[in-house]
Amino acid sequence: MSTTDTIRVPEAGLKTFVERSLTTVGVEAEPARIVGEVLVAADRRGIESHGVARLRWFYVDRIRNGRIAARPEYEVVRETPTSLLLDAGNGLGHPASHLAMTRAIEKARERGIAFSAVRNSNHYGIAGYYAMLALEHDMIGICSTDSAHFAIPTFGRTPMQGTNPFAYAIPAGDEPAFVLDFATTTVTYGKLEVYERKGLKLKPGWAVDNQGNPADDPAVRHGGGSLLPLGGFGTEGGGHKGYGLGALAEILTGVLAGGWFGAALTVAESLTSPSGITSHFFGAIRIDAMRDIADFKRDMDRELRTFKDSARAPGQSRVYVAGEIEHENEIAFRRDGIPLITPVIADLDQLADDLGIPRVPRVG
Amino acid sequence: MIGEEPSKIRAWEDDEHDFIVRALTAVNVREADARDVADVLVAADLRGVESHGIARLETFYVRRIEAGVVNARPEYTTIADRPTQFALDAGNGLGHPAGKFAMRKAIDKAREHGLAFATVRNSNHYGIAAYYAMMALEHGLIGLSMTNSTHLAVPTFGAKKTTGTNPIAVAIPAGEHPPYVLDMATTGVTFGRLEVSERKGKQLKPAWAVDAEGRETLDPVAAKTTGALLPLGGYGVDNGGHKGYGLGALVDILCGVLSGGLFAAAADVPETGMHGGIVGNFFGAFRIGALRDEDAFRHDLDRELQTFEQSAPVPGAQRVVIAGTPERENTERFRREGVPIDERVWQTLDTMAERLHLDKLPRFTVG
Repeated sequence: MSTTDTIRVPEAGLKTFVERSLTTVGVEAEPARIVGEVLVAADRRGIESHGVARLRWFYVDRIRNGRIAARPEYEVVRETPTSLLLDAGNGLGHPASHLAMTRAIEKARERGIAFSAVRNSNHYGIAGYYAMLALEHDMIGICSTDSAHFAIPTFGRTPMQGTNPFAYAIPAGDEPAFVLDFATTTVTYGKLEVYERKGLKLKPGWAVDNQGNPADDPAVRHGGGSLLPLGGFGTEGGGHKGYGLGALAEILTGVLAGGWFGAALTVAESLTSPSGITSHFFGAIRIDAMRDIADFKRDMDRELRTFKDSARAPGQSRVYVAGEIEHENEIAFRRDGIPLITPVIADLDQLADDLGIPRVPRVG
Repeated sequence: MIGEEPSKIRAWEDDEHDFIVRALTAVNVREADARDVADVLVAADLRGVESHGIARLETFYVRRIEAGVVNARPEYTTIADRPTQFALDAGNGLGHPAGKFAMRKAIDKAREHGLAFATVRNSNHYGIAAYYAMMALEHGLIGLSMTNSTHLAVPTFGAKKTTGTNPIAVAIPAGEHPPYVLDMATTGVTFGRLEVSERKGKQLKPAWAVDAEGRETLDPVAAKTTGALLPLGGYGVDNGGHKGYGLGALVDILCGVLSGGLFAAAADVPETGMHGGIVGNFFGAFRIGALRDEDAFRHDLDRELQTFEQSAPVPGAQRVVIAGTPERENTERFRREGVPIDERVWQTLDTMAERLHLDKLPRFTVG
């Protein structure tokens, strides 16, 4: 979490606010509810970069300026018992993704495994949300998305991929589920913004200037600089692996879904940039088709505890497993309210006044 | 070896294959199984992944069979056989025949049902992950392959080894363009990289390894003897080390836990020690046509890959390559010029040939 002043808001009130904002600009009730679920899930998990901070300029403003369709027509492009390709009609990414993942889960229940893809879509929030939809069905969930390009390929200098995350959710027994949700870049673009605001130098392995040379000045983002893939510059730290994973994400989303990909996605992210450019990929795997589910969950507990209970490096207090920090945030923020930094609260209050709807309630 | 010029002492691909088959059948492996092993090991050497080729024939395979810790003639047991899923117990046999068997099952099922996964448990080291993923290509499918292994890497902020190099390989067919083949350890580097640094007396790079206490180290000896590898992304979380650790754990869950095999502390044994049956694999195959017209996809993937390759390189770099290109170029070159085998590996192969009363692997030297 940021050290900036925060104000706590109740989860339910925040969801209602997102819903109202979107229905006010023409989105139907159910899709608006789903966007509220996904955005608030991000804030509740402590991933504030992907939560309600984006409500106005990623979603509401782009519906108001006509870039994103408020009431899209979905089209099933192709469907088999184990697969589905959906054209989201340039609507919000969250409802289309919720539908595609839900259908993958239904198909996996019948056939053991299924996957689905969405094209002509927009930002869908956190990848982990959709992968986690599989958990209550005792399935493994998989999810990926592409986006406008922020990151260079290894030894390149033109941004050729987004932060292209992958998310995997795997149920356990008594332990919280294993939820791995990671950008295939070392850091996200938001991290550069934060470092610039705080006047800090970037760490090696994060970014390059417009010639592709390693850079430590966060201001490079204004001058054509780009993010580096996970593993950093060149190949010594494994940067080619992060680049390979990022390219894989774009192939499984944009290319496999028949959406935008390659040079077409090398566009600046702005209010007036093209929409409908995003594609997503989802998968669901039934565990009990391979092994007894109770045995599996018991073994998952053992596996996760082996990591958590393993010896620590000097000065370190814990070894975590993927998703554990976010899980603990969820417990705390559900109890105490979701912390939003004051600039985000101010932005939401302004949005409320613009739209003529009640402001986000505060805790207490 | 990794980071070095290829050896000038070469073998022809067919001779190498034949030698591996002879060595394994000499220790009672069935010929068909021995051929499977040879296919995978020769493919590794051709691709320039020398660490996973014939260099391991004796220590990882022949010796373990002779010691009786790996079964020369295992019985396979089908644990689950569903329309889209298959789970195999490999009977503690060699990993390569079991891996090929399970991947073929996944491919057959995917051709019928659109996609399929297969797991293998109670198996052994299976060579390069890419081999199995690439089996899908000739069927026009996307292939996926992962394996867990003996423990070499610490988790983020940890001091104890809890995962192997746990590679992930994905192979995707294109049209005119060669396929996209990503095969990556989820650690920053492999153990072989530490050996090369030690041999050359060079310091390690940051983000490669830790010492016995879990502190990042640049000392190859400390790293190799009592230390461990770091996950992709390096020490801590600043450079995304938690992502590499998460991927390594994911691979262990899919290969060890989902397969019903060994995982976590149970798989904590020395890499080159005498052990068997500790490895599990995870395979997948996907039919592109389940989502999209296959020709349109291939055409678009050509464009996607060419876009990467044609993008401007950073000053001082020759080109931007896509995953699998250097290995494909090595294969073309080494098929033509002979397979390079390290001088020290030649010595172990000759000694083994004498011990097993085999004709030595024929060799020649390039200029």
